[in-house]
Amino acid sequence: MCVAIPMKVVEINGNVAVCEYENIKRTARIDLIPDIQVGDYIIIHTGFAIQKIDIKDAEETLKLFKELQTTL
Amino acid sequence: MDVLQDFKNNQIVQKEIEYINALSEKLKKTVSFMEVCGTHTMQISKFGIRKLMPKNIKLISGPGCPVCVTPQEYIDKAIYILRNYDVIIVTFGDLYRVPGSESSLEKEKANGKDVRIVYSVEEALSVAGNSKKPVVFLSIGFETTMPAIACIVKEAKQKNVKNLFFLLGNKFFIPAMEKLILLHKKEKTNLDGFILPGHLSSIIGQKPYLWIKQKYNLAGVITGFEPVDIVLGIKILLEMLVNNNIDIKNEYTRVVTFEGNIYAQKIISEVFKPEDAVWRGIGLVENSGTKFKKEYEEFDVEKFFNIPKIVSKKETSKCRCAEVLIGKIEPYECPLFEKVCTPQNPMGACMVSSEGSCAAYYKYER
Repeated sequence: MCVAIPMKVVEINGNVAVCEYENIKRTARIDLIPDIQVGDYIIIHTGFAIQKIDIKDAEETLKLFKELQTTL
Repeated sequence: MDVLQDFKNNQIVQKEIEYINALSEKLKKTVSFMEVCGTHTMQISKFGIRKLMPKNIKLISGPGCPVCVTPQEYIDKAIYILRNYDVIIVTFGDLYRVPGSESSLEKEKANGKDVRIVYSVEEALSVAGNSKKPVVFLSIGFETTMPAIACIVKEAKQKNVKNLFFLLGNKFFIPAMEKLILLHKKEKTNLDGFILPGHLSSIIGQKPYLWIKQKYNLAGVITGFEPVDIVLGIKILLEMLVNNNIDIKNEYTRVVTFEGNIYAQKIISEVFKPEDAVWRGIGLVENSGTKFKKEYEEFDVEKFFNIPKIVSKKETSKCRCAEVLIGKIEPYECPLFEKVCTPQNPMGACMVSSEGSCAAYYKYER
């Protein structure tokens, strides 16, 4: 039930965002993230965006991981 | 988006597993890590992560699926409303086939009752807008789902919608975790750390888990849902145990912050207040259920209809959902599993819900 999908915001109309993932478009309510912007990646659960995805942080996590691998 | 695809990278997973295997040799005993989120349950089964673990690391499932922990009385109450009032019931799909004492929403629909499945609670508002009948939304879900429901309740109030009601079965997760730890202590089962929910934590943050370490000296790591996330989470737990450095950590930093989504938390607390609630498998948990705050009581279906106290029939005696739910037994240890209890003919909630432990084992681990 807590399945949530990451999607990219391509358009914002009021409290609704049009989002995209691999050429699939759908809308999501954005009431729960006041500072959302076009271009943000978000997690959508039951039709509502519940949190933004920090892409820089994702890159850092993987970078740290890859560095760790080389030291093993 | 490529960076997000990297979290599915098989090579990274394999390297990680090699590291986990090497590190596990330093363990002095077999350790058990419990995941407490239905989506983790499903992903661990789907990606075969349990089988990739060394023999001394056990992955067990806890009560992470809101459908599975919803008591039979809740379904019976929904069926009572359907049978006694001319209403439209709106529900998430997972609840549709959960057996009550003598029927299910699916069976009631087959008998001509109006039951509609929706993906978002927002659709309940449109159903109400297009009908003169009372519309009852079966409101379940943890903190992940609660802010969306609270948003729609506020919107219904603002738009002066008079025919939308909620049968509240929403639950706060943290109080049940403490009860779960106490149950494990009582049963003296092996439990060394938690793989903590990703999306629920995106709402509540890392902060509300700190007591797990402080009070019970158990480890925990908030983890994402891709294969790399999950094995990384397990590695972090393992390192904490090997180095005797127990803590509550966060692997899913790209989504979960220390404080969580404060805006969503605020909406939850504006609309709901906690009350005691029964969890299937765990029993009564203080302050883990939800009630509307006075301002929103008009949306409580139990205030609108006269619903008597429902005493549900005892659940199928051989069904061991309750023990599966707290990770005391694995699904295949239940005598009904796979034999009479299947996703086509489920006997208990853990097999009905697409994220139940029994459904996950049935689909991916037989």
